[in-house]
Amino acid sequence: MDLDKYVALFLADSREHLQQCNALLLDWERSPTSAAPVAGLFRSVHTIKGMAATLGYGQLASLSHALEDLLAEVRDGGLVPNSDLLDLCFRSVDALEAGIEPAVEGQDATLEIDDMVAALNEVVRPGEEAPEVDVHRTGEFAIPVGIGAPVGRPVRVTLRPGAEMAGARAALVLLKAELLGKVSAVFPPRDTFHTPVFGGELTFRLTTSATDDRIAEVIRGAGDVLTVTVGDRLAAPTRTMGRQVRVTLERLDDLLNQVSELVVASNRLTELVEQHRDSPLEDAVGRVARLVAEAQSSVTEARLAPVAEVFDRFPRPIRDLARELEKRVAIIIEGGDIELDRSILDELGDPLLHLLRNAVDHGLEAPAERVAAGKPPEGRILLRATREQNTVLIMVRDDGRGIDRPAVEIKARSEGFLAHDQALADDDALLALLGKPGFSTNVEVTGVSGRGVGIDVVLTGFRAIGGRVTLRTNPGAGTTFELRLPLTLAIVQALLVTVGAERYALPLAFVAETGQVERSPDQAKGGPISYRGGSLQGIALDALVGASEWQQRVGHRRPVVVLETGHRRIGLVVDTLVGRQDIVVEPVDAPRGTPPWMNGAAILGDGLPILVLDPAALV
Amino acid sequence: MGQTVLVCDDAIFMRTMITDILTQAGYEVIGEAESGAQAVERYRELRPDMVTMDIVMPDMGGIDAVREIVKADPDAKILMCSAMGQQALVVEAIQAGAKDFVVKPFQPSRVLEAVQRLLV
Repeated sequence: MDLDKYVALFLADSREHLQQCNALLLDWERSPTSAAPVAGLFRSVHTIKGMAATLGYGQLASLSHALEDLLAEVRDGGLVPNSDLLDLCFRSVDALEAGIEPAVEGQDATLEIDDMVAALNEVVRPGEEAPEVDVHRTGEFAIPVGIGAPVGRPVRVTLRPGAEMAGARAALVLLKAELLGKVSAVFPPRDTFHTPVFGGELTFRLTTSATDDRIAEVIRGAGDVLTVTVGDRLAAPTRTMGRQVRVTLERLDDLLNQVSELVVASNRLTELVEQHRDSPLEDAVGRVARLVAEAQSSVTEARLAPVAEVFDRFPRPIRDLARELEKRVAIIIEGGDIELDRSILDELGDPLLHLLRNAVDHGLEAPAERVAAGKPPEGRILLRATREQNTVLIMVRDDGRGIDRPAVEIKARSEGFLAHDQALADDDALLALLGKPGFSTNVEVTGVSGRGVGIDVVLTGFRAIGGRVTLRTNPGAGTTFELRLPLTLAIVQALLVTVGAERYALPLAFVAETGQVERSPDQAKGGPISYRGGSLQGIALDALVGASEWQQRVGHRRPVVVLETGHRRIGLVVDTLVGRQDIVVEPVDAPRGTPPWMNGAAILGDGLPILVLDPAALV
Repeated sequence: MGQTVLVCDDAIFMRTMITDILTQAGYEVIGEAESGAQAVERYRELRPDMVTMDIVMPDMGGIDAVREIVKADPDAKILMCSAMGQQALVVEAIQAGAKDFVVKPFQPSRVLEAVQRLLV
């Protein structure tokens, strides 16, 4: 194994993460109640911990671990940040920064971090002994250091999420490994296995002549082992093919913006050329258009990262929550290699975690209740990503009790969210209700509330990254949320329409079909329109945007755009359909009172601005 | 002939249950013990292919019994039977030489999986 490569990767990666940490700490200090910096810090520190543990830098790993614990506590609401706590975080990050180079030079064991670790633990668990990071017992961490290099192959073992007594199982894993050779650099330390902080994953180094496959086979003999990763694949980033250059996300952002503008300009050029009937010119422009399209897809691809980067963070908190609630849960993750735009991925984690927590907290029943219902005592949560054309579908499915719709209806009526004679027609209506701000957070019976985060917050989080959510729930059998995400946020294919002199853009992803309808006065109020022999809720766009002359047009046939989200459809009546175009949506800093269906603005190829409507808010 | 097992537990209920699970799967329970001391003694006498061992028993607990048995036979295959919440004890038993564990309340499939791992 080429160790130098990993050390170099570690140096570069940890430097970037620490830089990120400092920036985030400053953000956090400016707005101490904001969740984003804490989440970002947690991710970075977690990454550093993983790398340090893998390379056998036990002291660095311990410090990262203690800091991560504290950040998790803050993130989960167990600690309220104050200036002392922030100061401690700053000093911890400094200490990590100062420790990186000595660790790489083989001086990890001499790092003086005990006081810092003790201070962090004291904040998280006041007055408690914290054996899990008891670095005084460096015996466990005594890595046989040759010339600054750890010895043996790195091994990472993850346990099945529902494994009973995961810590004892981990002890067995080490016992098995010891049959093959010498085990060192165990992380987390052995004496923390039996504590609740043990998260079902351990890394260690194994000096042995056995093959990687043999190691995996023997370790699997410990039982309840989910994955064993031995050697080279472990520390390497997911993509190691070819030579790599590190590029900051900001530079990719710039590049993507430029290419996106180029796409728009190229579209405009194509439009103009079509009016001129000059075939050499058309050929040339067509070639430019193709090249621009290729450049666009290359840049888009460069920004992709596997969803595993987010998904892999979930088993631990889910496991901890299940343990706290005395429930048993297996989380099954599929499609971790499906890729999404980095910026989408960064925003995906928190809302997704809320959904998963809700599933454990309210969806899954206690083991006894499950057994009584004829289910296995261990609940299952499936988290799966699949790629479908230009979208990624993420599914969160639990086999719990499902959402009790009649109970939700009763609650909704008593709180005025639903009229007394009204019922929820289907799961879409249920989701729409749960998504109303202030509703789901205070409803126990829905089975999806609690922990301070309602479905409305989750939905808002998903919508911010262009996601569409659907819900299916079956009493007694479980609940499924499906989230459809675009691969990239920058360029949206849109249908341009006009009302009066104004043009509007509708994201094509929501457009089911277009057709013609007769205008009627009802349409202004969202009354039904007859369309292709059926009935559809109609909305007149001119009435919606406040144009006054719509009444005069009653009786004329008008184009209608059928918009679809989930299983709900509406017909948006417009004046003319202009056609399809790629647009770059710029979020607008919306003044108070901006209608929710106003999604943003785009500049078209001709240089004129256009408003982009949000069909999800209309339907 | 099936592989042989010594079942150690101070509760007759548990001994019966484990014996039933194992017998139905084709193993042969050749002895029972209701204390740690008895377990050590019976192991010497019967030399079974494996042992199931309760942790908390009168007159020498399961962990001490593991130590004694492993001292005499380092290859002894001992499966700890533990109740929930005894994780620290299970870890101790593993360090003492137990080779695997199952958690009560038993699911027969989990018990058999562990036994199969031990008797490979």
